Amino acid sequence: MALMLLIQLGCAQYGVEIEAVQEVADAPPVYAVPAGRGPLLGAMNAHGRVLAVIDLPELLGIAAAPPLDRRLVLLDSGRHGLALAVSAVGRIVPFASDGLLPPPADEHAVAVTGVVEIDNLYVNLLDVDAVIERLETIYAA
Amino acid sequence: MRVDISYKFIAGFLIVIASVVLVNLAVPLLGVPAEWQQFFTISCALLVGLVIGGAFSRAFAANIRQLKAAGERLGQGDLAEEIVVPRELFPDETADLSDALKQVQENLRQLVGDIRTIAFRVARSAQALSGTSQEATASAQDVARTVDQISKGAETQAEMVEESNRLFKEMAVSISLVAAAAKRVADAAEETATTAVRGNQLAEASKQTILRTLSEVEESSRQIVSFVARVQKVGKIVEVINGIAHKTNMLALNAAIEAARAGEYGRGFAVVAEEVRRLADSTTTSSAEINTLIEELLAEGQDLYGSLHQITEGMQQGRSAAERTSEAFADINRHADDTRTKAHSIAELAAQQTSGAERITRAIDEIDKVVSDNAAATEEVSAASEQQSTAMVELAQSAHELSIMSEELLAVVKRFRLAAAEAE
Repeated sequence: MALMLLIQLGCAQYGVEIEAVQEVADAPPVYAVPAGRGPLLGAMNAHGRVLAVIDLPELLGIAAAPPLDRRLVLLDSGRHGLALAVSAVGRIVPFASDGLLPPPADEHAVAVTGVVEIDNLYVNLLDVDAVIERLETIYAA
Repeated sequence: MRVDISYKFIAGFLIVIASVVLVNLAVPLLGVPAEWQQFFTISCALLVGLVIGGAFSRAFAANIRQLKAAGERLGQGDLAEEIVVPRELFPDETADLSDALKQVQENLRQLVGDIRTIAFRVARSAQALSGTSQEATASAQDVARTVDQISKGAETQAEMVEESNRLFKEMAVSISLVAAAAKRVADAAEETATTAVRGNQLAEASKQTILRTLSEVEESSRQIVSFVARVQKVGKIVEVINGIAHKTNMLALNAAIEAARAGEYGRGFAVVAEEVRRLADSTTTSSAEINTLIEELLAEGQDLYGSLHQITEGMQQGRSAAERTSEAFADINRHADDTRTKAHSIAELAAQQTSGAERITRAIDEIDKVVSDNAAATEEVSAASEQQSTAMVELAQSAHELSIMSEELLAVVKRFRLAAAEAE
C-alpha cells in the first residue's frame, strides 16, 4: 500500500507519491528571480537550500487556474530541488500502486502516470519526471 | 288918483244934469220965440244929455270889453297873449280886475307848466318802472326756477338722507355682528391659548420622555459597542486558535510525510500524525463555525447598533421636533393672546361704533326733519316767488296804465297855450 499527497491543480485532482515529497512549506517568502519568465515564480530558501518555485498549473497548461495555495509542496532533494505551487494541498491518502488505471488520451491529462480512484474520485498521479522534462525543454535554451 | 266906477257914474250923471240945466238957462238968451222956447229947450237938453251920456258910458265900458275878451281867451286856454288895459288918469275897478286876471293867467301858466313837467316825469318814471318791473318779473321767474331746482334738490336730498339712514342702520347691524364675531374670536383665542399651554406642557413632557429614552438608548448603544468589542476579541482569540490549528495541520502533514518516508518504522507515527491532523481539522472546522457565529453576532451587533443609531437620530429629531412643537405652542399662545387682545379692542371699537352709529342715525333723523322743513320752506318760497311774479306783472301793468294816464294828462294839458312859440 503506497501513500500519496493529494493536490489540486485548477479543477483537476492530482496526487504526488509521498516518496517524491520532502515536505509541505507554509507560505515561505518567495524572491523574484531576475529575467524569470513563464511558470518560474521565483526562488525560496528551504533549510539553507535554494529551490526554484514553479507554478505547476501554468506549467502543465491547466486553464483557468484559481488562486494558488500559500502552501508549497517541496519535492525530494534528489529531484533537483523544486517547490511546486499548487491550487490546493490536500491530505495524505493510501492507494494501491498496482491498481493504477491508464491515463486518458486527453490533452488535459498532462504529466500523468496513471489514474487511481479514491473515495469515488478519480485522481491523476503526477509524473514528476515528466514535469522536470517539461521544465528542461522550456529552460534549456 | 283912484276913483270908484260908481263915483264916475255919479259924476257923469251930475255933469249931464248940469249941462241940461245950463242949456235951459242959455236958451232964453238966444232969442228963440217963446212958443218955441219950451220945445227948443227940451230938444237941446235931450241932445246934450245923449251926447255927453253916450261919451261917458263908452269911456266907462271900454276897459270892461277888453277884460271880457281876455276872460274869453283864458276860457279858451290861451295863456300866451298878455292882458293889456290902457292906463287911465283915474283907475277904477277894471284896473283891479285886469290885475287880478293877469295874476290868474300867470298862476295858470305856472300850473300848466308844472303839470306838463310832472306829467313828463311821471311818464318817464312809468316807463322806467315798467322796465324795472319787467326785469323784476324776469328775476322773479329766475327765482321761481331756482326755487324749483332747490325744491327738486331738496327731494333728492331727502331721498339720500333716507338712504343714508337706511345704510347707517344696516351698518349698525353689521357692526353689532362684528362685535359678536369679535367676542367669539376672543373666546376662541382664549380657548386656543389654554389648549396651547396644555400642548406646550405635553410637548415638554414628551421631550423629557424622549430625553430619558434617549439616554437609555445611548446606554444600550454603549453596551452594544462593548459587546461587539468583546465579540471581536473572541474573534481574535479564535483567529489565534485557527492559526494554531493550521500550524498543527502543517506539522501533522509533514509528520505524516516524514513517517511515510521512514517506511515501516514510521507507520505508528503516521497514525498519530493522522490523528493530530484530524484534531487540527476539527479545530479548524470548529473555529470556522465560531467565526461564522462571531460574524453573525458582529453583523447583528452592527445592525442593532445601526438601529439604535437610527433610533437615536429619530429621537434627536423627535426631541428637536418636540422642542419646536413646544416653541410653536408658545408662539400659538402668544398669537392667541395677541388675537384675544385685538378681538377685545375690536369688540370695544365696535361698541363705540355702535353708539356712534346710533348718534349718526339720530343726527340723520334731525337732518331728515330739517330737510323736510327745507322742502316746505322751499315750497313756500316758490309760492311767494309766484305771487311776486304775479305782483310784478300787475306792477308792470300798472306802470303801463300810469304811462297812459300821464300821456292823457299831457294831452289834456296841451290845450293850454303857454307862449306864442307853442301856437302851432
